[in-house]
Amino acid sequence: MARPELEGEWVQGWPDRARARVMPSKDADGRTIYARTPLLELEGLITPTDAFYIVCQLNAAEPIYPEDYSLAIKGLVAKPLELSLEEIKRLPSKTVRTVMECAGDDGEFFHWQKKGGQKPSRLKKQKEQGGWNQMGGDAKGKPKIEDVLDAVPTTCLVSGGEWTGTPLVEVLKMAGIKAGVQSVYFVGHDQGRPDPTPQYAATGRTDIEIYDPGVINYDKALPLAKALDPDTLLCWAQNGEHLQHIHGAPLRLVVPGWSGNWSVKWLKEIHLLDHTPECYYQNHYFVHGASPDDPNKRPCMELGCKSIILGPIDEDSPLPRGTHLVKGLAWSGAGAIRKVEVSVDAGKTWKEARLEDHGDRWLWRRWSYVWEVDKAGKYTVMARATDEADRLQPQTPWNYQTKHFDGIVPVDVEIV
Amino acid sequence: MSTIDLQRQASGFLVIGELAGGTPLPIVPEMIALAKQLSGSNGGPVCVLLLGESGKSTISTLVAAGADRVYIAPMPAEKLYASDVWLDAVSVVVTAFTPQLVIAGHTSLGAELAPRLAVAANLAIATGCEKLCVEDGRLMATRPCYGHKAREVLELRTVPAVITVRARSAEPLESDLNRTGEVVNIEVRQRDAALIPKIRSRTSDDGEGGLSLEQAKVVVAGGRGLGGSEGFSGLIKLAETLGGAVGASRVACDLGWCPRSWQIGLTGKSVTPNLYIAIGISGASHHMAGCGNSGAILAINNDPDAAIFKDARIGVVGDYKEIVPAMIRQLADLKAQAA
Amino acid sequence: MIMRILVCIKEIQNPEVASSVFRVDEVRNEVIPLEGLPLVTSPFDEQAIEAALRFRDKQPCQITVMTFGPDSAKAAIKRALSMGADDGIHILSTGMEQADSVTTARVLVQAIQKEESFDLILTGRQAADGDSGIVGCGLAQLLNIPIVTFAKGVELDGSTLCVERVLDDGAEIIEVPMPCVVTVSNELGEPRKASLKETMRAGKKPTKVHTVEALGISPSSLSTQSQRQVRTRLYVPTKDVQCDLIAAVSAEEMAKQVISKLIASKLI
Repeated sequence: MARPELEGEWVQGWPDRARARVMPSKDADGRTIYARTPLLELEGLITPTDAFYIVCQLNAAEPIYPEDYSLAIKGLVAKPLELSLEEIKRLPSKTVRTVMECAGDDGEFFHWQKKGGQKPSRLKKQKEQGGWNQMGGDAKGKPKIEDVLDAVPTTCLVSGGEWTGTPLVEVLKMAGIKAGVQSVYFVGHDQGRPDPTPQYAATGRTDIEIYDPGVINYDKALPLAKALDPDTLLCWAQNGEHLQHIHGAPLRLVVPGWSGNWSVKWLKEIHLLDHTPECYYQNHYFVHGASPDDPNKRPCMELGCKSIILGPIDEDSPLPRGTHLVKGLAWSGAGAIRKVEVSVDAGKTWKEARLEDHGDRWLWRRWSYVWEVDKAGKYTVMARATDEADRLQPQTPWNYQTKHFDGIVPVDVEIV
Repeated sequence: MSTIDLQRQASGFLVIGELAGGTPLPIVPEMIALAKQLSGSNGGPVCVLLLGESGKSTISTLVAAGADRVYIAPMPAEKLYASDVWLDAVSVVVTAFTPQLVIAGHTSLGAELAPRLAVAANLAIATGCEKLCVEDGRLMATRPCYGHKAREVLELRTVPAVITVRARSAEPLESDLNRTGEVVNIEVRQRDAALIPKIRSRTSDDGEGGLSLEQAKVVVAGGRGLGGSEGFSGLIKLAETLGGAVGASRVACDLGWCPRSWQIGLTGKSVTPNLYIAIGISGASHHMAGCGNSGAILAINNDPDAAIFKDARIGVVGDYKEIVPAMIRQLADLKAQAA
Repeated sequence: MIMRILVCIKEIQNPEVASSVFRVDEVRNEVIPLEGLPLVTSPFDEQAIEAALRFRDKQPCQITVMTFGPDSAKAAIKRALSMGADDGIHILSTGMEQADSVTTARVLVQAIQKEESFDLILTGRQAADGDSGIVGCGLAQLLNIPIVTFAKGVELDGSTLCVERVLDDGAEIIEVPMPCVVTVSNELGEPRKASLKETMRAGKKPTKVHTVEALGISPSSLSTQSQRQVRTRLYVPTKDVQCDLIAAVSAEEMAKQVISKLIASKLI
């Protein structure tokens, strides 16, 4: 498919480009429950809220009126607390700009690297009705993998956001952290029975045993060190406005550098524990392992080191000889990106790209490379990133759940 | 204009006698029964209008179903567009005996004929009616609106008034072959045929034949949750086992998984079976518009939050690919035992 | 002389609103509009615009879009112009907000007769709020021109207009003399999105605005005429269905329980 024609719309009474909006999947009542960011339509660093990706593993929580909201802090604390939103907002607060990326983002590229076939395209739009929540169902439902991937492409599950809130450590200090705490355990208001379908799609197999915990609340147990990071926030605002319901209102966790499943929405309770409890979404799903039976499976945590090319894309070919801008975004789970390099000869030689310098450690960086090409032919264009911890892309080996894909995906360009 | 007292000005009813393959559509006897209900004891003749030569059996079927009079209008020589021919014929009949109400089925013919007649003659019109009744001498029509989410009640203030009705607005009367009725042939002056649309060709859906969706007592319908056209094969078998017909949601038809003729919904067919089995159908209101008046709904869906469970009498959360074959097997066993 | 096509459209509340939030004021017999939810063009009318644009994909023609509605309906005209229509006509419905379908048809006809004649008038088969399907037929009768409803395709075959029409059990191809009215059904397919180019041009495309008085209609005269049929009640039917949810683990067991319940309820 070639790039679609630019759409227009009326914005504030004026004729304009169509605003970039998510590619949504909706439930029978027309509510968005899954959404992908139209990366190719965006420019800049902050993904507008209406274009921000959405993944709900369980059923989205019922809306909570801000004045009715209460957050419980329990466990190994000097003083258990029940905090209202007002009280949380009175704590010192700050704004952190960070990439948020779903652990499953681009997971289908792992399948493509192993098996070949059609290269996944970021242009692909899924149908609005019929997300994976409506496909697999119970522990016995076994839909066709191709059908699921068609309904829920895994590309474009990454966005750049600006989050305003109080550092988690402020709330923990208020409660008083006792000795011996190993993990900070979060429970969300969202509830449901985990659907095995995403795991069938992620693994590309329907023959694996998937643990069924029954109906659970979404929960994650964050290691203490990351919980105490000053950039780990309890947020009430996103991109300059109060959190929207679907993004976890009125209060959510934001864990920069770690995959999106750690940023628990619709926060209900926080427990300080002397151990790390078993949680479905870090012990049974969102795990790194060589196979389902790998005894050394570990939870997905920090993202890899990643760059993506947003221009040109395969579908732009053929392109005329002359000057072209190779451009994209780069980010890392370890912090800031230090360098991006571009190759137009399938990785034989690399040139350093221009890298945007901004002060936000966790936010992706825009990079670009001016490519002068005067000879017709087929070119393989690649990009690779290096981060502040000197890790070179890619960092994530193939894993059976196809999580944290940060591989180098070449763009095939034909110059005529 | 003041409200009309129907009982004082009672002068009969005109039913549009649509035929298919020479026999009246099943909705015709229902409309006759409805007219009889509304007419009460002194309501005047219930008349049916037919187009074209009709065999004696067609006429006697209609009389046995309750018609007091059958008007027959000539079929024009050329293949003129249906609603134009009917409009001309209806105009003649309505002028001849001034019924209280003209009743057409909400079919591709009736849905066009009725509004045209109403506007041409400046009459009250209500389309897609579920229910008709007389309250204090006023004719009240209940019809769904807002994508079937709401109902409005309209008072029809002219004589005649025009309505279209959906299937099963009334139960057909017991066929009584002893009833008699008169037959009146009418002449229709033909308009300039150059101004009338022509039917160039017609195609029929290659259906499974036999049972029509609107008349089936059991309907098995599939939606997006089937996942593909292959899903329908199980539904077809289940429908066969239960002696029913197969339908589909608009989505399944849009996706090309089944013939468009299977579509049930606000656009598409309206069905009122005793049992409607909704498989992989989410239950959005525009689909419920087509099946909401079923006797009872059985929903099979693997999404426990699907809206259909709010309309279903019996619900199963599970995979239809396993449940439907199991049902077919068990039903076959029960039949074998009973035999 | 290129063909002139008129598309009549209606702006309505979003029909995709979930049943769970749809509310009716049973005292005023009106739908309670949902705050913050933008109004939309009735989907069948968007398909009518699409039918006109597909026509223009094949042969040049002028596409005018017309609506009878409140001030907010100018957004519907703009959207149509952004899809590719050439000009708009907006008849303000001030003072006639409760106008029924027949009245709407009469008003539209007054405006149509002020224009150079149209060869083809397109509109949706029904408005997705009232669901009556009366306006299109009304236009044809009042203008005394032919009508074909439920079109899934409208094409020119030489100089003959051919409409592929949806029947209850199939389809027919109808040759229609022009001028005529054609109502469009959902089987036509997805309407195209507004392109950037057309949206940017839309600002410069002309839209005429009429008051009903300027068309020679006095709202009071038509509102009396509106009383041919009168809404006496609007309500949301209560669902008194209690779902008997089967709790079983195996498909065999589920099937068994379903069948026994169906038999017990005499449904099979």
